Amino acid sequence: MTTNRQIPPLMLEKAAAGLLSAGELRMFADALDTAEVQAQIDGLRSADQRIRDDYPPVRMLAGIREKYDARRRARRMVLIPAAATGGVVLLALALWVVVPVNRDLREDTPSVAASLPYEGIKGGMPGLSVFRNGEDGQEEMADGAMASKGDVLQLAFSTGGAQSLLVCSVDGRGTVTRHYPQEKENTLVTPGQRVLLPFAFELDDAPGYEKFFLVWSTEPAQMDVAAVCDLLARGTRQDGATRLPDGLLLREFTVRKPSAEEQ
Amino acid sequence: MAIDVEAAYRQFGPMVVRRCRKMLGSEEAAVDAAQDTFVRLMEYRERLSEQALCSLLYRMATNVCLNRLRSQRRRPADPDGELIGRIADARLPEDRFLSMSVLQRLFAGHRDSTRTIAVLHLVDGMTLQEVADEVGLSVSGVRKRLAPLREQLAQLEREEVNP
Repeated sequence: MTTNRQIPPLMLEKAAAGLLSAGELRMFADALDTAEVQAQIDGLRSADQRIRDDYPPVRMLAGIREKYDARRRARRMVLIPAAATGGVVLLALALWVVVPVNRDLREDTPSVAASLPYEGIKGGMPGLSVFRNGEDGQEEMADGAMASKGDVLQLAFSTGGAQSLLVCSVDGRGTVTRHYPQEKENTLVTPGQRVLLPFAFELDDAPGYEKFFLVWSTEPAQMDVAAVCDLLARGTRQDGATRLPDGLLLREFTVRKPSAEEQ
Repeated sequence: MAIDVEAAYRQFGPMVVRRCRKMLGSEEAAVDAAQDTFVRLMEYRERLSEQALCSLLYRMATNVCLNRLRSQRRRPADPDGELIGRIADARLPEDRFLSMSVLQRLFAGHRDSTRTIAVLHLVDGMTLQEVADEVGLSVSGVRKRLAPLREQLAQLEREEVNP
């Protein structure tokens, strides 16, 4: 019970709105019984009415809607050129060739998805797999395996316990390619699923490596795909280290490629 | 289910205006920041829960005001204004790689900034346990988030005593 300290403003606001939890009511029971605190609560309720009189909700809500619409318009104007210059479109045209193989593949395609790591079960770590498509079928690559210009790769992942997830890669030239989500900005996923991406890529002659990153969170929160990919690219370009804010977790998978001298 | 922003405003709008007044010390800026808080709620209404909406809006308003103080370098004349200003100006690990706005977008508004946590504890006087309960962290998680900020505030005080 709290008797000798002031009730924090948030708790007073909750008390005025009748929203204190049972635990909070117990915690502040003594203080809430005092005339001083009751006067503070009554003061908040009176102040609420004065604010409604000074700033009528209809007018405030109209202003909120106006600002919201203005921001949406502004964001759309910024995002369109950003996506075209920094993202998928240029990369697909200039650096990677999007190969229309396995177009009919869907999630949980048995031939590949069945071989995904068992971590795909709900609650586990997400898994990332890279497959090389050849004439004889698909070969699952090991982390650190060699590949070369012209190899056609396809990605699959298991969501494990992730509720939000993205996959991108950075090549030896520092170029970022976004793999998932491909077009929509929605990074939310269902835990415990296995997904084979329905497209493949032909590696270009960028030297050294192609590093794939699976970034995930157990929070059902949308990630800013461009910002996360940019962060990974900067870390990779600077010193090979990848740093992410608290709450975001990372899995890496590297496909090695011949260096510039070996090509 | 998406949050009904109009209903949320009608219930909690005055509280948000009041919080912004306290944080910014200017009536005009407070009303503008209160609207910005509800704009953010509108942007994230599909992803946020109506549970504990009062607390969520209080923290969102705090964060909106801190960002405003940080960018505008204006300080409230309130007795707590100096401390709020120092918290707004502090350099934090979360600023190292991303701007706050980007970090907020990464988490789509779910994540409380360290500065917001600091205001709840150091300005509002909430205990670490109360802050932890509000923001959904453990007490040790709150303590860890506050550590670099506390160090900077202590350093500033040392510099004032021994300039």
